Amino acid sequence: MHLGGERVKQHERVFEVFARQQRKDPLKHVGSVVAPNADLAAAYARSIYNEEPWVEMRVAAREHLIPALEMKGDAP
Amino acid sequence: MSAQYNAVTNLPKQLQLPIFDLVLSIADTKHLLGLRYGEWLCAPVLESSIAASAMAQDEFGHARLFYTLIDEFVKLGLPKRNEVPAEYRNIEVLDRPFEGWVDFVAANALVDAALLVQLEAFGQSSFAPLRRLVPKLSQEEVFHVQHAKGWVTQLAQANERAKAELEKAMKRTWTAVLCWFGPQEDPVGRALIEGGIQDTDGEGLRARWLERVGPVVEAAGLDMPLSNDAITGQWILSTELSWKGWDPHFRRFSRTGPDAETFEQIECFSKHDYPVGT
Repeated sequence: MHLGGERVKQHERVFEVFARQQRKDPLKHVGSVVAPNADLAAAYARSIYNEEPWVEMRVAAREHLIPALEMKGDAP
Repeated sequence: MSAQYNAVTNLPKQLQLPIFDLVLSIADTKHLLGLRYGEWLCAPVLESSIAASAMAQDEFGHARLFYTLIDEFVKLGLPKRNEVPAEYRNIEVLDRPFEGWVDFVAANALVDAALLVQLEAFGQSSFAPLRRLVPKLSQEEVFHVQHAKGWVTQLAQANERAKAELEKAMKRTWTAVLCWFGPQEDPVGRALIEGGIQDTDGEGLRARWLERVGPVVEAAGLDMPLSNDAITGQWILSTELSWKGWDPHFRRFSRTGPDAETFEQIECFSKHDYPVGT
C-alpha cells in the first residue's frame, strides 16, 4: 500500500474464514482473506463475507492449519 | 434498585434534558463518523475500502436509532434543533474530512472506541430504550475495534514515517475525544448516574476508554500522553485536561459545527427525511 507516495512494506498472510448460520451447524469454510495481522483479517472477513446471517465467524492463519493429508502432483 | 423507565414518556422531568443532550451528541457523532468512513472508498487496500463502507453503514444505522429516540423527546416538547452547523454536537475532529488515511485510523481507534465505551455504560441502564440497544450495537462494533487495532499495529510497524504520521493524527484527535466524556464535576453526568441512566461519570468513562486504548498504543510503541501505573495497573493521563470553553450540552469547545461542504451533505439527508422519524 502507499502512504504519501512511499511504499509501505507489507508482510501479508492468508487467513481462512469459517462461519456458521445456526449454532447447531458445523463451522464451514467460506473463503479466505489476505491481511498483515489477525485483527485486520477478522475485520476484513466480517466485512467481506457478510451476505449470510452468520451467528459465528472465525479466521485462522493458513499456516496454523495442520496438514493431515496433502495430495501432491496431479490430484484433482 | 432505582426506578425503571420503559419509554421517554415515563422519564421524570429532570432526566429529560440530560439524556436528550447525550443522545443527540452520540447520534451526531455517529452520523458524522459514518459520513467520514464513507468518504474512504479508496482506502490503501481494497479490503479496507469494503470495511470502511461496512463501518459507515453500521454508524448510519446506529445514528438513525439514536435520532429516532430524539424524535420521541421532541414529541414530548424538547426543542427541535435548527438545521444549522452550530447546532451540531458531533466530536469536533469530525467537523472536517480526514486529511489522510492516518486520520481515518486515528478516528477509528479513538472516536469509535469512545462511542463504544459510552454505549456500554448503558448496559444496565434504568432507561430501557437505551439499554435495549447495547447488545446488538456493541456486537456490531467488534470488528470496528479489530480494524482500528489492526491498522494501528500495521502503520506502527510499517516504517518510521508512517508511525510518526499516525502519532500526529492520534494527537490531533486525542483531546477532543477525552473531553467528549465530560469533566468529573459535570451536572449532566451527575444527573445521568443518579437516574441510573449510565453507570459512571465522565472520569469513569475516560478511565474505561484508557483501558481500551492504552494497551493498543503501548503495543504499537506510540508516544502518547498516557502511562500505565506499575502498582495499580491502571492507565493514567500524563497531562491535565483543560475545560476552559467546554460546553456541557454540546460536549465540545467550539460551536462552529461541521464545515460548509460537510453540512451540505447532512442537510441533504434531513431534506430526504433522514433520519426516519415516525
